[in-house]
Amino acid sequence: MSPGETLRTSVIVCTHNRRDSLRDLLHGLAAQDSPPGGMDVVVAADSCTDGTPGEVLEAMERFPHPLELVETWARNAAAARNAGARKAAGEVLLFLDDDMLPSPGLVREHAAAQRDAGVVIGYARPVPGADARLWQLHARIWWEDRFRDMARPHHRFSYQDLFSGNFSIKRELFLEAGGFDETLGRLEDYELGIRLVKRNALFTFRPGALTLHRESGSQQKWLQRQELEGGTFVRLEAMHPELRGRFHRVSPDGTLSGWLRHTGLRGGWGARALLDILGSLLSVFERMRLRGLWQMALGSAGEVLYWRGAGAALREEGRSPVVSDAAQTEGPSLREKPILEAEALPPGETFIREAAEKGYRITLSGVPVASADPEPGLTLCEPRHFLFPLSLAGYHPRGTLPFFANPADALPGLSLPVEIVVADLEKGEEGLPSLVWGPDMMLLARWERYPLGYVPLPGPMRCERRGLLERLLRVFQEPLRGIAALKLLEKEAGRGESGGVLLPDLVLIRRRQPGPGAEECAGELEHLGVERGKIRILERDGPRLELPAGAGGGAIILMEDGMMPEAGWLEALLEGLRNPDVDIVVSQAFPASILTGDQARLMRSRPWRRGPFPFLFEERERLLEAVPWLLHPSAPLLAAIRTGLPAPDRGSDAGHLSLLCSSLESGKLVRYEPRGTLPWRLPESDPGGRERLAEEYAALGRCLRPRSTSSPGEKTPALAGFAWRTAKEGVSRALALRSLRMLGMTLAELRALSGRGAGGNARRQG
Amino acid sequence: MREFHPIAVREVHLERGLTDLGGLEGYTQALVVLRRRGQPIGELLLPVRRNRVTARTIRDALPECARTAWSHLVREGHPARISRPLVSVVVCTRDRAHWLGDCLKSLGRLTWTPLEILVVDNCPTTDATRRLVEATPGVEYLRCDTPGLDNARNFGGGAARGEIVAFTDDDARVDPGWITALVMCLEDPTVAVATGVAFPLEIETPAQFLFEAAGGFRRGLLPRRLGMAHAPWAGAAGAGVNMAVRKEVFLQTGGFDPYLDGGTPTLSGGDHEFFSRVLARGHRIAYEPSACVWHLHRKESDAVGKTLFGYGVGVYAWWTRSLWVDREYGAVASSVLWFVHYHLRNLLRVLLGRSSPLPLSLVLAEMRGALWGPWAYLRSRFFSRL
Repeated sequence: MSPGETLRTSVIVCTHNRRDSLRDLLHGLAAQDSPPGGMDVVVAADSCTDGTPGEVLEAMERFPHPLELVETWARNAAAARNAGARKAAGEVLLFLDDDMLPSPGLVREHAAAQRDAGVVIGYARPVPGADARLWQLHARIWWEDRFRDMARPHHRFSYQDLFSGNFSIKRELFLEAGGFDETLGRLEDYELGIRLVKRNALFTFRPGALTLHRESGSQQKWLQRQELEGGTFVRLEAMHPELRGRFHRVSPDGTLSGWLRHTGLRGGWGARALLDILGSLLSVFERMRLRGLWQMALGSAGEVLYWRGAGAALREEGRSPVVSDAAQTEGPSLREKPILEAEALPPGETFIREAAEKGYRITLSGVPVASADPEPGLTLCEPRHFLFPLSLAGYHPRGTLPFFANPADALPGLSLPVEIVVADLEKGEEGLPSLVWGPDMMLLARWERYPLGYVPLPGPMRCERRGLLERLLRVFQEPLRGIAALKLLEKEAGRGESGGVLLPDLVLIRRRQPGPGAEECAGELEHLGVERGKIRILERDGPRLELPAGAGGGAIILMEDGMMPEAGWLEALLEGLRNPDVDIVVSQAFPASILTGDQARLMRSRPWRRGPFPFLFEERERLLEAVPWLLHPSAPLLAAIRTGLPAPDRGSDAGHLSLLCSSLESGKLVRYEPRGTLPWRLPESDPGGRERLAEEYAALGRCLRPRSTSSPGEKTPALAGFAWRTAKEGVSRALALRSLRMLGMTLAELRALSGRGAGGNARRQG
Repeated sequence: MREFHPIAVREVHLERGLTDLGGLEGYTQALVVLRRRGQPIGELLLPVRRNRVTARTIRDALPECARTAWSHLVREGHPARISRPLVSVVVCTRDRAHWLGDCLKSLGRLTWTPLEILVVDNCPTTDATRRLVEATPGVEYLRCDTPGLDNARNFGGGAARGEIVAFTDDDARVDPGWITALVMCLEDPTVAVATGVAFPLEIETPAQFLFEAAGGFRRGLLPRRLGMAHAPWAGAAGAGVNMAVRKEVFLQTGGFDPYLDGGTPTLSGGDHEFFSRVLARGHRIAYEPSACVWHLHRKESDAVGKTLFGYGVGVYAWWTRSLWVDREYGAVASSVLWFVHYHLRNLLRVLLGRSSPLPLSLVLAEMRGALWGPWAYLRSRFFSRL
């Protein structure tokens, strides 16, 4: 075939009792701008009783191209299309539905695109009428989204993209594949699509091959179709066992969608009653124009019907009508997948072949940002498919795990004692802790020390080690993408001044409980290369410490006993001090284990800073918002301060906070560094701890006194009540009252103060 | 609220490398709009120390932009093909020639062609605007003698010849790539209206600070799409200072409601009401942060109170119209929810002394507006001279 030659195209129109719209369609086909002899038309009229054949015969006389009529009585679109295809003489078969209105260039576009593709999908643009109901508007968006997806350069075609309303296929390919399946009754286009994908047919989408699609469906018909499709998918599964589990997205049990699935699968009166209710809700919502609720009701009804159809078909086949989400959790192992660094695009041919077979993983700056499993229903990979398919890979139905930002939220479902173990995902499977049968545990997933979140792992689950890394990478995909983007931004922004490794001038370990915890911590620090002489242990009621008045080059680390320093931690914590405007870096320690109910309660009452990213506090007000998670009985001191600042008073929490405040007031910044986090052993019991805590909060109230420069308009009562609220919300009301008493105030006084504004506050200062 | 200090507003382009921002005498903070290849990826409030913001501090704040940067990275991979339709820019103004001049200058720097710029002069009392426009090449002058911002918008929209009509205000300065970004959104046939972000041009007075603190035109830096379920919440789409609409949809929906917005008792709300009708027709609205304009907030100390009162009136006037004319029962739910979750919550926060962006007087002003809104609409519709 020479490149200039156009392929002869046979247009096959399958119709059933739609005389009027067929007449318009034939008018459109008569007006095609393809050369004479370039096309012919076959109308396959299936079980028509409205005089359609007469209409076609009448049109034949005036029709500029060869026009033929095939009549079938099968009540089956697949059979009618096959009959039409058998009659067709062209090298290309263009299938059109009878509710399409072709644009003048339709046939030409299809013929041109057929030169280098096997299957060409045209753009059936939906046009809802002026009196369109909610369902038509909804359907329009659905169709347009589908075509827009196909128009994206990186779209990888699947069997679902084959839409029989407007597509063309080489006659040879169609016959080789065996045509439409006549036994299915529905979704015969998807089924043909599966066979074509298996034959590695080349799919393409042509927006220029335009037909206008007058939506002839209705809400009622769509709902009926859902039930038929549910059954058809079960049959498709039997025909193509390699696609089992790929057809329907099974939502997890325990969600609304999971419940709808179970109700549908059970069928019977339960499903009927639910559908009746949803049906009446649909009409009420539409009349009241409550579109959000209407969409929810429509989706729910569709889901119930789909699964009712699937359940009936499963029973017919003698299979159990139960579909659970458990079958979907199995994914291929990560180790087998080829890895593609996004900056090394486009990938080589070997990689593409391997990726089509095993799935693939894409990394950006070394951070995994997307992964794909092998998809038997998808066409082969091509280089362009790797150009950021990332926006589409956002949702992974398979292999999800529950995860939490706050370890206390991950506690329900676990039984105490719970151990919290770190999983450093950048190290691959070696970074995962060894999971043997044992008590419950919780995983803190990190990437290069950025904390991603906590994953509860009950005892029995821990045995399923296979695929755990893959699942962790998937559930933390969003923060990982943030880290990848951050690395890219930092690279683009140019390197900051690097300099040598910062080492602490002094490490102060505060002793919170009697025991060897502080000495153990000091030992660990020595392992990390901190000289013994630079480590001091701060006794609980010891004297105030004289700190070295260094020239501002070094740093002092404040920490507590029971912390277990790790390699890389010191560098991460001290990095923030490279900014000369930052004087203090604070971090948040996480519990190494939660052993008792008391500890669990304490953890639950502690608010938690979310997210893996560091940030700067630039003013006092913002710091005060952070007090609940910086200062709490279960939040130990963990900070690095620049040498030369005044020493915190005996290393108390309030002293620590007053240091932060005064630093901010002197124009310096405070940085929160989540990478400086460390595991910390919560004290099991803390005799006198409550009393000391009340003291701390009272001291906090004192150090939060408004600045002397405050202008009359300032909302100082907010500050006055701050200690009270922090204590009450952070610990208990009784403790808050006690700390207020220590401040020499009653609650009534505080309230009066808050109500009176700045004047009251001034009195309090005096 | 703390003592007010002016905040410097600066732009930083990441690809030009980070350098110290100097010349910030008199400022304690700077609002740094960080842009990467033209797209804003971060709006960082950074401390000014020794009259500058150091490159290191900007670098330390980069993690705050990580999520936004990702969404832009992903889009870089597949730029949408752009057709080149004629775009009409409509600027409605009334006796503010001193501001309009800068606005027209920024419109002259737009990179999009083909373009037509229409200035709609609404019931002018002087001919300053006409003289200014006539002296500016490439700008057309239209005079609309029916008072009301929405009348002017409809007049301009009707006269526009473009396939797409973009609207901005006379107190805004547009970015050179503004139209390009909006048109990119409208490539999607389901999107009928594209909106963008409006950054403050300056924060020099307490009034300008409070306007920003009250939310300003802030809708985040992540692109978003609203569908028909969002019709009662169309305010989330953006504002009339930065929007573009398909002319076809503009005509199909009948344009803006002349009983709403500036020049009527309802004071505002015309843009949001229009958005909600567009959504109800089954179209989508795309919010695109890379389409940015810079808005000059009003400086006078009493302006914020008036503006917030006007916003309160406008929102509830819009919901009243939705219920009265379009029989949108969702408006009842949204107005009750918004009153409880926004107005009452703000009031409680202020009364309980929790940290609140707004002082009591402004919270009350907005609430008074909210209560007056429904009557304002009915009055505008039935008792005005229109």
